[in-house]
Amino acid sequence: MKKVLYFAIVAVATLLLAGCKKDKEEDNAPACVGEWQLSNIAVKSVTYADQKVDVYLNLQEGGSFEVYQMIGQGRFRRYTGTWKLEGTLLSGTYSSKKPWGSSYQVSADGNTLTLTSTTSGEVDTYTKTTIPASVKEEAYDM
Amino acid sequence: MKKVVIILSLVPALFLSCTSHIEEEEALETQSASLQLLATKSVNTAKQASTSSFLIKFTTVPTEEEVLSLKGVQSLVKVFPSTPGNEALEQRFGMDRWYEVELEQGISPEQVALSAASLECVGTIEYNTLAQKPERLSDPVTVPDIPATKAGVNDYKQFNDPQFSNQWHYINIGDKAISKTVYTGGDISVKDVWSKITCGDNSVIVAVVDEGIKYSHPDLAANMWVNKEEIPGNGKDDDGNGYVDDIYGYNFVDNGDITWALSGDDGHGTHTSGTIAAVNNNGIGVVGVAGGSGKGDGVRIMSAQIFSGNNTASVAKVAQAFKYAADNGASLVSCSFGYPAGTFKSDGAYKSQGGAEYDAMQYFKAKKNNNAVDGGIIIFSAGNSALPYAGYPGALADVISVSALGPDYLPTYYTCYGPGCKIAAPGGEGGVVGQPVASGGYSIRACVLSTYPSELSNNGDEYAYMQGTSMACPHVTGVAALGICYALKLGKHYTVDEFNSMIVSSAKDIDKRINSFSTKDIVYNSGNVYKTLKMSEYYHQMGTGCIDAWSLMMKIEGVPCSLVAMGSTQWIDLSPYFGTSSTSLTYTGYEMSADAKAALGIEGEPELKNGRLYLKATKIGSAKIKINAVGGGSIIGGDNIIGGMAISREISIITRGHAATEGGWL
Repeated sequence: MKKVLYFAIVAVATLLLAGCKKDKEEDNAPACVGEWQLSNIAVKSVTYADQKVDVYLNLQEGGSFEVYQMIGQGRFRRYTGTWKLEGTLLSGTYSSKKPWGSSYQVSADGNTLTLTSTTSGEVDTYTKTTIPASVKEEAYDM
Repeated sequence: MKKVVIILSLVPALFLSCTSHIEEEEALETQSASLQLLATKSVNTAKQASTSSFLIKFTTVPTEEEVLSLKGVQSLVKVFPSTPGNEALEQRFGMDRWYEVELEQGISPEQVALSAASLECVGTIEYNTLAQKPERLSDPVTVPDIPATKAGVNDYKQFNDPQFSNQWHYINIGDKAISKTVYTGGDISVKDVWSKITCGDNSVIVAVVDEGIKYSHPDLAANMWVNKEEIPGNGKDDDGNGYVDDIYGYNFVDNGDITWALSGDDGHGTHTSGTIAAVNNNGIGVVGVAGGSGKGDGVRIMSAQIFSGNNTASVAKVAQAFKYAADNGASLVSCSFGYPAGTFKSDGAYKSQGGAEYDAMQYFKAKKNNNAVDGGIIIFSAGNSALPYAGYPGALADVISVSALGPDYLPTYYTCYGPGCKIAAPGGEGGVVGQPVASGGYSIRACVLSTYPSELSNNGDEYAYMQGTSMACPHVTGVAALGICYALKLGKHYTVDEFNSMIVSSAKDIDKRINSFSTKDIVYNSGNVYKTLKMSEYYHQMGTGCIDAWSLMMKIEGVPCSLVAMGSTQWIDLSPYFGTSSTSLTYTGYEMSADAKAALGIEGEPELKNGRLYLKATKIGSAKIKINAVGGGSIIGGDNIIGGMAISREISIITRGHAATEGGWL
C-alpha cells in the first residue's frame, strides 16, 4: 500500500514538475554539476550495515559523468558515460551504451545532492566533495 | 648432514653366534607370515630404488631389542633432522618416526625389510626410490646477453633488462618472428601488476626443488636466499638445522655444497629459478616474475637440490628437501619433477606409496612461514609425456600442477593434460629433440628464456631457451609468490586452501581459442610435420586456463559486492571470482546459510549455469554465498580417482530495489 502511495506521489510530483521543466532544468543542472560523495542511503528501514559502500559521483558539465565506487571490498572501480537532466529527472547511460539501472528525481542545493530512484524509491544523499586524487589514481576502469 | 644415529653398527658376528638351528626352523615357519606382513606394510617395490638402504616409519619408537633383531643393518638413522620449535608439527605428521635403514654391504633391502615387517612397531616400509629427472624435450639453446642499450622499449619499458623483450611469456605482443601463430596476450598478464601493484618482497622465500641453482649467477645472486645463521665452509652446522654449511640451500644428493655444472646437469634448476626471480631492473639479462623492481625487493630463491649430474636423490632425500624448505622459511616450493604420468592413476594410489615424500609435503603445507598464508604452497609441473593426465605428486587434488602453453596460446605438443592438471602457463614450444629449431612456424625464441649456468655452455652464455612443463611451473610459482607479496602488503590472511583456490581460479580462458582450431601442426626444421595435435582432446583439459597475475591480485584486494535487483530472477557474473574460464568451469554447488537466505528473502534455490549464479531475492539487504567448483576438469581428485582441486569463492551480495547495470551504482 505504501509503495502504491509512494508511486502516486512520485507521479503527481513528476507531472507538476513537468509544468515548469525549463525553469527547473536551469535551476538544477548547474547545481547537479560537480563532485559528490555518497553520504547516506535510505532504503526503507534496511541498511547495508556489514558492507562498506563508498561512491563518488562526478557529474561534469557537457553531460559526461564518472562514478568511482568501492562496494564492500577491493579497489575503486571507475564507470563513465553520459547524463542528462529533464526537469528534475536525472538519467544516464554507461559507456557500454547501457542505461543506468534507474533514473532519479533530483534535488540539489549546492552542498547536497539527493537522488531518489524512480524505480525503487531508494534515496541516495550525496555531499559536495573533491574526489581524492588517490581514489582516481587507483581506480580500475570498468 | 648431521645424522641422528641410533645404532651405528651392529656386529654381524653377534647374530651369527646366537642363531641356532632351532631358530632357523622357526624363522622358516614364520617366513610366510612375514611375507604377508611385508606385503601389507610396504608401500612400494624395490624397483629403481636404492640397494643400500630403505625406509621404515615406526608406529612407536622401537626398543633396543627390536632394533637389534634386524639383521644386516649397519645403522638406523632418522630421515628428518628435528628442528627446535617444530617438534609438535613433526610429530603431527610422523616426521619423527621415519628412519632410514642403512644396510651392510651385500645385504639387500628386501631381506631386511622382510624381517622388519614382522616387528609390531614397524608401521610402513618404503624402498628408497630414486627421483626421476624430467624428460628432456630438446637441448637448451644458449644465448649471450645483449647490450643494455636495447632495453626498455615499448611494452618492455618497465625494466631495463636487455633480454626482457625476448620474454614473450610475460608480455606477448604477437611478434610473428617468434611464431607464425603467436597470440597477442598469450601470457601471464603480469605487466600491470609490476607497474601498479608489486614486483616482489624479499621476505618471501621460494624453494626450488630441482638441480642445484647457480647461486653466483649475475642475474640471480642478489635474489638468492642466504642462511645468515650459517658460517660458510667451516664444516659445522652453526644454526643447528641439521645441515652443515647450507648457505644458499642444500645439496641433498651429495650431502654437501650445491652444484650445477657436473656432467649430466642441464641447467634446469638455474633456468626455473630465473623465471621465478631473476633480478629485475639490474641492466643485465632477463626478468623474473617476482624478481623485484631493482631495489632489492625480489623474492628469495632457496636451492633444494635433488639432482646432481647423473645422480638423483632418493625418496628420503626428496622428502628431506621439502622439510628443509619448510623449516628454513620457504613459503612456496616449485617442483619441476615427479613420477612419470600414469605411474599412479588416483590420489589414493599415490598416497599409499607416497610414504615419506607425502608426509613431508603435508608438513610443508602445514608450516606457516609468512603472515599472509597459514602454510606452504606446492606447485608442480604436469609432465612432458603428452599423456591425458598429470604425473604425481603434482596430480594430487590439493597440489597445483601446471600444464604448458606455447606462444600461440594453445597446448604444447609435449604437455600432459587432463585430470590432475589444475592450471596452465607458458612453457614454450620450439621444436623437438634433434630438431632444435623448427622453422616451419616456430623459432627457438618460442621457448622460455631464462638464466643458465655459463659452465654448461660452450660459449660461456649465461642465458638459454628451454621448453617444458618444467618452464610453465615456475611462472605459476612466480605469480603465486607475487600474490603472497601483495597479501603481505595489504595485511590480508588466508588459509592454504583459500590461497590455492585463488591461484587456480585466477585464470584466463583458453578453451575458446582451443575450440577455434581443429588441429595444430608441430613442424620439423625440414618443414615436415612432426605431430598433429587434435585440439578437441585439450578442450577443458588444461586446468582452469592460463594463469592471470592481475586476476590474482584483484582477488587479493577483494572482489566487490555484486549488486542485484530484488523482485525478479537476476544473475551474477562469476568471472571476477573464477576468472574468464568461469563459463566452462564445473560447479559442484553452493553454500548459503539459512540466515543469509532469510536476509535476502531468497525464493527457490539459486542456480549455477554457464558461469553465472541465478537467484531471486525479495528483500533488500546483504549476504554471502560460497560457490564451489572443480579447479581443473570436471571431477575432484580423490582416493579412487585422479582429478581437479576443490576450489571455492565467497560472493558478497547487496540487493537493491533497482538493477545495477554492469555493477555500476547508478
